[in-house]
Amino acid sequence: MSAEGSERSRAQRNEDILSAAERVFARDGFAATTMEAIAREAGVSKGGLYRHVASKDELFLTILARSAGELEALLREACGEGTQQGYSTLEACVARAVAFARQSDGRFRLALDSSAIRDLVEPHNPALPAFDAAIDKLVQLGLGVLQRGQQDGSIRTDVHVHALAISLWGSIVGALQIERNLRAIATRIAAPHGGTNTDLVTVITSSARPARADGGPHLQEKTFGKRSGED
Amino acid sequence: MENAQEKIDRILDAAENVFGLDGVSQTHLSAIARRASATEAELAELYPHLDDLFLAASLRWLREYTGTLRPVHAANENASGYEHFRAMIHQGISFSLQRLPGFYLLFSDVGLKYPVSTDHPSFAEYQSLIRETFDYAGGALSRGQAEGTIRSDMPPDQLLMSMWGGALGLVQFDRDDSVPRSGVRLKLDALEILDSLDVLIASLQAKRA
Repeated sequence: MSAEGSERSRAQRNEDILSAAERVFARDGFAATTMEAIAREAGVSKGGLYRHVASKDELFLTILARSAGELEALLREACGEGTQQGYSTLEACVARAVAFARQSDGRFRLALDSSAIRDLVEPHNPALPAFDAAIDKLVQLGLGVLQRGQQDGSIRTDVHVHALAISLWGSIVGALQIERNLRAIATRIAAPHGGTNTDLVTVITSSARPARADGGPHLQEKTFGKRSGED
Repeated sequence: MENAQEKIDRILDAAENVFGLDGVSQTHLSAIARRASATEAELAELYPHLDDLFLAASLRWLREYTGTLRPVHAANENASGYEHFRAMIHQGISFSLQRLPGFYLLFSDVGLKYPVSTDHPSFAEYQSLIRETFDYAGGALSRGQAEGTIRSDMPPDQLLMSMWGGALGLVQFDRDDSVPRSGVRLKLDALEILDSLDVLIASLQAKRA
């Protein structure tokens, strides 16, 4: 096989391993996943697996970074500079992010794990900077949309952009968890409260709309998510 | 010398923590026994089935939770529906932030994924207490819509589910250990979480002309 063909074959094998690992992590959760199980799923020996990746931590971080990159690409399509007002762009972005999460229950589970990533993986793992960079890009994208809306007057300015970002992000993650469990909720609390599907985009995104003319109660000077002294 | 109730509390403390943080399964029973400094046989003697332990831990948390909600509900019955709803959410989340594993056990993936037996003798009380908490919040939302302090472009159940999701998502920032992302600090303290919730709750307000 030529050097180029060999390189392509190695890249394909890498891709197969990442896909297999993603399935196993999603099925078993990070803690219970073993390299043996990933090797089995990928159809390689454990030794063969270690020729492609150094550790379970590295695999996990690589998968999360890849997933964040895919989401970023989708959001860039929906949130491009365009001529839309910031609020409309935000609606499109939230809708795209919700659709992405709904596509794969397992992937959403992995994303939930990622919020505690530093509890899960070794602190100096070489794949950590790439993961951090991928998440930073997503956050920058979101902040850019919110700031654009604040500048054009379609998104509220009485709440700091960091606080808005946190509120929206947290709400989306939580609301998706509720949505995934509507049947269980209906059993536990009995209809009607449990039987209603949530319109995540409409309700959550509307919290970013400009406040009432009088500002509304309780909403002055929300600057959390931003340390004092930061720009 | 420890009495019987103290022993039960020790085991339920352990169950609340292990189930709430790690999930509900037979495999977690040994972790609960270890944490409670008990043997698995002692655990099984008090709670023969997984359902028994799940419901006992959930019910203990729910009784305390509803116990703190009732006076807030009573004190706000004459307030606007919006203020009433906000007060209930603040009380519920303030309590939950101090007993987070129980909150996860009751209201997040962790507990909701567990297929609790609806014919268990304790299920009726479990369902009734959860329902009570939802009725307080749902009632305030409906009243706010009727009086015009809460938006009426969506049914109260839908607004309630969205607020539940928002609260669940925001509470999780309490344990987020991420580094700041592009300058955004993702680890929030309790007051910041309540402030964050206010941003979401404010979206319920009816727009004034």
